[in-house]
Amino acid sequence: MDERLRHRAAAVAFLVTLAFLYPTLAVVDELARHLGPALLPLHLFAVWLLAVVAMALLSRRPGRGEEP
Amino acid sequence: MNLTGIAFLTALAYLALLFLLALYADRRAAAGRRLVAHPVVYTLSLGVYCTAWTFYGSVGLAAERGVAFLPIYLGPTVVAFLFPLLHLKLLRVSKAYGLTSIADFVAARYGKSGLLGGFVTLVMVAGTTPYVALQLKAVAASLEAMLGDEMARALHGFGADTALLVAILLALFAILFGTRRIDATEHHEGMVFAVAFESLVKLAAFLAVGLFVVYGLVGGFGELHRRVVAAGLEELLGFAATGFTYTDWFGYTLLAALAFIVLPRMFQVAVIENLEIDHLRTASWLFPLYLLAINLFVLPVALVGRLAGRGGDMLMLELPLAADARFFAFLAFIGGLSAATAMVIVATVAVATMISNDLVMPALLRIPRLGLERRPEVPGLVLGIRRTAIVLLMLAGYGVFRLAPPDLPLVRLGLVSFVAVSQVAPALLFGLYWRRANLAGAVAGLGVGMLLWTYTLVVPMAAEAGLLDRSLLEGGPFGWDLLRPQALFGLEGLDPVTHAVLWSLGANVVALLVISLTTEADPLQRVQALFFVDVHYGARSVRPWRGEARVAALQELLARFLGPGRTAAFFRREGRRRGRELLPSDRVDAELVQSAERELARAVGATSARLVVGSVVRGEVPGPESLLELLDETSQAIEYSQRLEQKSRELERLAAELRAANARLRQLDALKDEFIATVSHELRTPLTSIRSFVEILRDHPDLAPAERQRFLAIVAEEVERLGRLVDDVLDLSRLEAGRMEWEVGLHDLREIVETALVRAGGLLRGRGVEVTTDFALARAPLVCDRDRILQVLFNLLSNAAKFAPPAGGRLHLELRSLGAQYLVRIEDNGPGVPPELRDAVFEKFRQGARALHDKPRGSGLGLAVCREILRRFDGRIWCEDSRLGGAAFCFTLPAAETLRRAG
Repeated sequence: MDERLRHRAAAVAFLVTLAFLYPTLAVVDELARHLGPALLPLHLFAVWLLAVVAMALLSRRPGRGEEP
Repeated sequence: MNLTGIAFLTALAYLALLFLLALYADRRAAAGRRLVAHPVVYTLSLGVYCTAWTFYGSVGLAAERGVAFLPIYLGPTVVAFLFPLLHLKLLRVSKAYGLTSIADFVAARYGKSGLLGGFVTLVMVAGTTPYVALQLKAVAASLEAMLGDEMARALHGFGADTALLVAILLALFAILFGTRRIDATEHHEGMVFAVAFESLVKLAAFLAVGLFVVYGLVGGFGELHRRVVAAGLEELLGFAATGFTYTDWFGYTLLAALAFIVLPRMFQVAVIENLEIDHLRTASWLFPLYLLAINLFVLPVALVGRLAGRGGDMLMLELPLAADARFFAFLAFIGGLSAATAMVIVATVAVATMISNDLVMPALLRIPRLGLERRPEVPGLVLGIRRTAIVLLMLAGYGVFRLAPPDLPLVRLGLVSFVAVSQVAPALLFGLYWRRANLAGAVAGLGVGMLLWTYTLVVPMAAEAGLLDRSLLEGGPFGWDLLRPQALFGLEGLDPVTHAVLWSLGANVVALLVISLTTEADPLQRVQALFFVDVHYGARSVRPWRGEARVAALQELLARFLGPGRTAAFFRREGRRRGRELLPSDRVDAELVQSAERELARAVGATSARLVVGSVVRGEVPGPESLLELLDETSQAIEYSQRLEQKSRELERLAAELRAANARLRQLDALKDEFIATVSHELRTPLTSIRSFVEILRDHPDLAPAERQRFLAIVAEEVERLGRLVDDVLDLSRLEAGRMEWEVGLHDLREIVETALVRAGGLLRGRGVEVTTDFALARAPLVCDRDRILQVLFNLLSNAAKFAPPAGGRLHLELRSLGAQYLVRIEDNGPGVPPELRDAVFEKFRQGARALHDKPRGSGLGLAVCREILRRFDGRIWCEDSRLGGAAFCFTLPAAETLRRAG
């Protein structure tokens, strides 16, 4: 696991933390008043899933002949 | 058979299956075919984080407070994304020093301190006991839910205690698979495999029951949403229902993240049981996915429960039972049993290892009268301590379960544990990243944190349970309002757990920082700090040591703890490393002492190992000055190594750039050679022709005048062609070198197009080409060099004329706007350009039609020149199919926007 992967992991963790906490959560909760009550759980699970996909792609081991 | 019998038999059969699986995995490992050496198994073993709390407690909480259950999983999700940073370091340190538990880890970082190791162990015991109680409570409650109230009462009437039975069975399992060997760093592969299997079972059970509840009982998510709205329960989906402030939400997320790192069972599976560091790569995304999947149906199941007028921790069981869906009820029961048993087994093994290695053994070794290091029964003693600790822990958990109020929610018990164990996180994290953190700071932080944990969380629980005066909560001790346990120093409006987290962790961190900054660490601590913080740079601790000792003494000592076989293997390994056999009469050096200490630490922990080795291999540790000298040298070496690494990376980058530049230069060189060869060829062709005709004229003065005139015309034409070629070469070289002089001004593209058409008129008429035009714009103002654009147009028109068929040639010229640009399109009915050559025709000396007509009709540079000129004015040129059947050459140029609008 090289330094680039460490930086990528830190970036994903930081962005996810931002999306999971205040003030993002407050904005989503406010939007939920207009767009429907299920928006908050949908937001949390969607961010969760997106972050998993992003991390899976970023932590992929480079193939032969690929740049690490 | 009735439901009672089936439930009991199912539970027993499931535990028996776990035994068999663990046994099978252990046997495979002994045969060298490891079942757990796979990143997916490693990730699944991390699923031990999800206990009965997840399976039952989360649903109960969600039924009351919507998404309030989620921060407990969001925190670990964020930590999992940080595996390549944090856990990578934890693993490297752990593997380098043979550490056996979180207490061992923290103690080793702060100078192998027995005091701190013992303190951390006590904290972990305090934090784990309520957690074990939670699992027993969940299993007992789930069994009773399966049996029904009447049956449960009948069972209690016979004096049967399901929780106690479960506790005994689990203790047996933990002893069998967690304490078979003295070496605590040897992986418990059977246990890990069983835990991974349980993770799979509870996930599958949760998903199956969730799908049944949502689709089988309600008819899908859409219908559930409709019913929730109709019943006025949609507020459960919003943030307000959580009863949290945003600070509470943050506090719970932080708490869960820290607990995930330091919980004994998590440290055990994530760090101690890890077989390959690279497994972190997969776990960093697969574990968050696991958490997501297991939480997917928590809220829907809770909502269905609320719609049915139900609530509480047992909804996962009660809903299928109420619908008489026994299969799904059993699935839920097995899932909950899996979640509870996995946690209890791993946690008790981990804490029992800490109790033996960091609490009991160091204490016993400090009693000289016992002379423990000289007794042969030490390995048996260590294993006995661990087994006893497992039984005591289980009994303590059972005691808490019996003492706790029956209506205490599962989540509440779990959170008390979380806050306790998270007190170790500051010492661990600051220790990993801050060299200055020292033992005094760590002990002070942990002490203050635990005091505040007790005061802000345990005292209120005891008061609520009636064990303490309730007035303490409302008025504070001695009526001091500022000291109210749940509103300390006036901090009000927060959830009690957030309140406890902020006070205990905040004070813990402040104490650690202040004390570390104001006190000096002893030299051993500073050496350890250096090697823990810089472990990524391959730092490894070799403590300086001077003394008199022989290999024989060390051999005898190790054999007592590790057995003769392993001791002999250790000395063989050390001998191989030195390139010679170690003889009993040899003197030991510092490195051998350290290696022996590390080997011993795998069995009894770093603190005990230090005591044991120190007692036999008498020597002295050099004074602080010598240690600091070494420290400085090592620091310099590490910094130098870091600089070298940095330089090496820079050199690698520069080498890659140079390789790329070299490849480009080679390509350009090849292009240059090709260009020279082609220009020479293009020049020689007309020159040969001119020379031939001039020689004919010179050698045949009697040539007929008409013939002479025809030859002279050919010579003139070839000279003209030569002139055009030279002009094109010069133009192209000036364009490519950026030396072309431009006369840029505001012009009208329509006027330029018309002028070009007039200039090419003679040529077009000469070849009999019929011209049609379509000018959609009255004016087309643009900023350009008029002569150069005229050159482009003339070039394209003359090309069209040249390639037109001898009879019936047609040319269509079009000018129109295309967004903010002008489009000029010149179409002919010539042979056209095959699609595969449409890009190539704009390269030097490439004539698309040459493939069709062998006779060259131009310099081969015209289109390349056109492309360069148009590029200069942000234009673009391309070739496509013509509606007339030949080629269509199109180019765009940006309009002078404001003027165009005005026009």
